[in-house]
Amino acid sequence: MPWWLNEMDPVEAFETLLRGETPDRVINCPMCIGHAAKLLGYKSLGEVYEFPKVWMKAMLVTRDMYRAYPPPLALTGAGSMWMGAWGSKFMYPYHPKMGSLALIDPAVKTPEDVDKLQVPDPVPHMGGIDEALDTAIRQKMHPLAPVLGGWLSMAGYSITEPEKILFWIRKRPDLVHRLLDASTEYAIRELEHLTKKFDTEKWIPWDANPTDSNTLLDAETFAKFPLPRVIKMHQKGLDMGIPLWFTHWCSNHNLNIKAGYIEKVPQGNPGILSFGPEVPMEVQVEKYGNYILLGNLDPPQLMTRTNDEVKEMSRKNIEVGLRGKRGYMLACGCELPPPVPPANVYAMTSACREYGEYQK
Amino acid sequence: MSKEELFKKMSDAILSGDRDETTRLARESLKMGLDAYETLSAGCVKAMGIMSNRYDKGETFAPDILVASDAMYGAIEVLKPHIKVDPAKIPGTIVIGVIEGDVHDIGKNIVKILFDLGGFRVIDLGRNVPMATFIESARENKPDILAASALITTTMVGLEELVEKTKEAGIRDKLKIMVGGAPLSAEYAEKIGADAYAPNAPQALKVAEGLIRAQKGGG
Repeated sequence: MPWWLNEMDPVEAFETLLRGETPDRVINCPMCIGHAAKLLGYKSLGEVYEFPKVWMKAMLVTRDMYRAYPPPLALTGAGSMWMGAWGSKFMYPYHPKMGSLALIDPAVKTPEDVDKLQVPDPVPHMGGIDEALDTAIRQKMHPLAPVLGGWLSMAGYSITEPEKILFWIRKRPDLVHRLLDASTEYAIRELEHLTKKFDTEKWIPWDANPTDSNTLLDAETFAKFPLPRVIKMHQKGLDMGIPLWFTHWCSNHNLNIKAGYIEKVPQGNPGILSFGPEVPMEVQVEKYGNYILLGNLDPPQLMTRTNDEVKEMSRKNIEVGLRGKRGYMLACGCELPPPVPPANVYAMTSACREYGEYQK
Repeated sequence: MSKEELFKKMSDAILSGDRDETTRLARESLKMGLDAYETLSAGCVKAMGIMSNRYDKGETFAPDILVASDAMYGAIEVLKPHIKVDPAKIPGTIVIGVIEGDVHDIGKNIVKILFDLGGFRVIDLGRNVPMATFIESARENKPDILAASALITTTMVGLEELVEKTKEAGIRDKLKIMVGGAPLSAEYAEKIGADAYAPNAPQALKVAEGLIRAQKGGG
């Protein structure tokens, strides 16, 4: 019998994990966004970032071509939702070389701009994400909704610039506290809107935090600035009936891990965590085996290695990931680079099929 | 105040990110008749060297580097018009920029600061730099090193294209190419044909100095 008639659909397998049950195998969750635009033949990533219909098609193609849970991260319209709403100017990635949204002119450039800043109503800016979630839920794709408030990665890339916010951390911490509070308040309003509009069992809020990582920040600063806001935002979401959060601890968070800050953020039950390639699967399983984990292939290696090598790297990851108590998905340690050869993504799926059977 | 005391105070002010104090001390040094280049070397460069080593060891982080460099530039603004540059003392020229499509430039800016302090002549092309601009600048400025960065996996492929463009332009063998940025590795740098890779800003300065030494036959 062909394999595709004998195994769970990847989304079905993902939902099995969410219920705390064991799916038939480890699933491939490649963190596929820009790569999906390339699968559709687009020269740039702009259409996938701007138009829900294109984004949905890209996610369905990813699911079906790779038998993968992409995951369907509803980034469409995020430029308006994250940047435009605050008065920042942005650009969708229509240039063939662009890899994501770009902040062109931030709303906040001076301390006086912070004084004038008011938290906008997110709802008029959420048309893109609403449509994407609605379509994905109807397609039974279990989408993720980006909700980034509280992180420096949000305030520092949407309201002001990263260099500015990092400078102010030492020179004008009062301004940073106000910016983070404003972005947290905004995110909570986003959550209120989303929880009223969509069944909370059908989608998952997702956040990520590259600027908050220990590549740029010490653990003490992390604990003082983003951490309390993120705890608040996650808890508010859970209080609104959201069962769990999916957090991508982007880049190097090893100092925050050592300080015990990751587990201070409420993730729900079981909560989904992914880390950058700087955090080996062994560490993840040992410390966070009670969460659903995913990872942790090195993104550049996915571009440069052969498909046999990728399959072997995947096998090693799966071997460790399967030791987690709440389930594991094979994934790239950050967004899957668009130029990764499709055969290498397929090698991940193939490794899941060959080595990813859970012990009964 | 002796000049040693002034240099020490300058260094302390940079390390604590006190721009008002570094500006005041720079003016004071000129009033004392001190050589501006000596003040820059003994006060500013030394302090940023300490900061750079701390950063390399994971003892200090990006916000500290940013406030220290702001304080340092306060002093440089005062001292620069009084510095007489001896071309023989400049170790080399570096053209630096963030690859096309990528607007993440914190890392590049920190590397640029350290190159400045290392005495290099630095031409900073900024972020989201078109390939043609890199090539044009390389032709015009004849740098010893072309340094380019990418912070996201989606733009890092542009670095390979940059290496190819230098070949097409006939300038590949006239300069060294070094690359950096969070998703990169030495393996990737080698694969795309770059000459060198640096995992962080302090290492970038060391790598650049090494490339120059090798170019000049110093090993």
